Amino acid sequence: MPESVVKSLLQGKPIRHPLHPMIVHLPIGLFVIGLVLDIATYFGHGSVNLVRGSYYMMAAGVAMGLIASVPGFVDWLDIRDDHRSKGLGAWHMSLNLVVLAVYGVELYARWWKLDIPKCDVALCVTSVVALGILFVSGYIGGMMVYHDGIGVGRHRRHTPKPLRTIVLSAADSPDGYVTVPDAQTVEDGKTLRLDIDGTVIALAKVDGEFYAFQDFCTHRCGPLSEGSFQYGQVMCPWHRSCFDMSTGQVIHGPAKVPIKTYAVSIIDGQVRIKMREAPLPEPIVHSAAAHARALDRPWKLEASEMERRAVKSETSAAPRSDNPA
Amino acid sequence: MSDTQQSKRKHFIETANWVLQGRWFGHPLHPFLTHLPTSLWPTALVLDCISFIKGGDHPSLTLTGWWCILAGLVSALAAVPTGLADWSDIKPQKPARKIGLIHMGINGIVFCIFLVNFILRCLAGPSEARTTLVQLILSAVGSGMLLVSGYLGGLMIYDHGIRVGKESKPYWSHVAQLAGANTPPK
Repeated sequence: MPESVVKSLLQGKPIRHPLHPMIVHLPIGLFVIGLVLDIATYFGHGSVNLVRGSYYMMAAGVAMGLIASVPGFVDWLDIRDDHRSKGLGAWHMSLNLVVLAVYGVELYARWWKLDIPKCDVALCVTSVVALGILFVSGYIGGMMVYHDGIGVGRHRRHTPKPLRTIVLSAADSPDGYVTVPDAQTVEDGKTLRLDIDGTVIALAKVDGEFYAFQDFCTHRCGPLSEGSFQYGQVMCPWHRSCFDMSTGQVIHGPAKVPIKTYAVSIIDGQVRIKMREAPLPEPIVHSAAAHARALDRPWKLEASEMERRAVKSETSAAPRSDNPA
Repeated sequence: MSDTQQSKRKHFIETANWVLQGRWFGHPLHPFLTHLPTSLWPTALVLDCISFIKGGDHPSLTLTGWWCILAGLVSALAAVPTGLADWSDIKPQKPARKIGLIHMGINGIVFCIFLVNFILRCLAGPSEARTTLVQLILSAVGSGMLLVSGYLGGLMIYDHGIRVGKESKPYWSHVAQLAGANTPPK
């Protein structure tokens, strides 16, 4: 089932460009110019026109900020629960709401001072502080895009991305296979992100077949579980590296290193991923410690030394028929 | 060019890139600096429209518009070298290089349009509180072209991933390694 149309629109998928980063330019510019106008009132005799201009800019800034928060929130909902950008996004959102609240209060305070040609010092300082908070929050937003690739290449994916990582273990598995619960109900084009004893794997269902491969692209570690699929290949959302999902080979760069793939089998309708070969029978231990125990010697001796002594004691214990009388 | 001259030049370019590409900052500077002209010039257009449609004198609108255009011009000048530094690192065979060139070209024209717009407003004098039709048309054409070029810039990030994952490569490579994955070469 493809994603809802509303969500797709708010994420800017038809125009291949997320909406939130586009709209966000406006509150930033408007709040900055508001402060510039405030400072300009301190030169010469000031100006009621500047004060009013600053007021309009601030009001428009708050309005555009509120509008920008809608696609921003939708974008944030689409981030995986355990991704560090979920937390970064929460900080970004909270700081921005604080900024909007501060400016909201300022708008109220300024309403009574629109006829004074110079900006109130306390309000000016408040604007500076609010801009400072906005700068920090904007920086976090930049981190989300440039460090974590949030929203990058998202328009190429038309099915929902994994919103959580399923933690499984192969420790108790007798044959080295891990069963992925409820995987058989996964729809075509969807992916599951799995953590199997620390190994992170993307399980994708494409054209009725299941494929399992590492979640990290070998170019700059983009999330392959959020990629798009075509011709048995997965395409990384960040820079469009393509990998064959069965063999892991690079079909198209900029990646150069192949990705790890894992064998998937469907047994009794259940999807199972092969994590390792079946464990071998209990091996015969030839460790130095075991050898020393057998010879009743301190185990710190080197194995080669113990062997030499073992051979020597064997030969000395055996009766020597050719001893001279 | 001798060896020392060549290495000095190389060192200069590396330092310039380190500053202009925002590596000291932790992420690209150019998209950050472009927020101002991209928002303020269309704002000037909106103010021009309101003032023109209302007719008569609206000093707060025209004065704010004047400041918006000036702030946009100053920040656009700062955005130019950072943009060039980012663009110079895009490999020639990538489509983003061509998109960057078009983005740069359109922005150059837009800058000139708003410079002329600003000069006209300065020439009209500080007490001039009306928006003329010429100023309005310049603002409209400039803003329209800016929206196209800004969109192309956005495509470079969200469609082509320019500068995405570059500063964070060591962090994500470490995470990938711990997660049992093949990692990118250093």
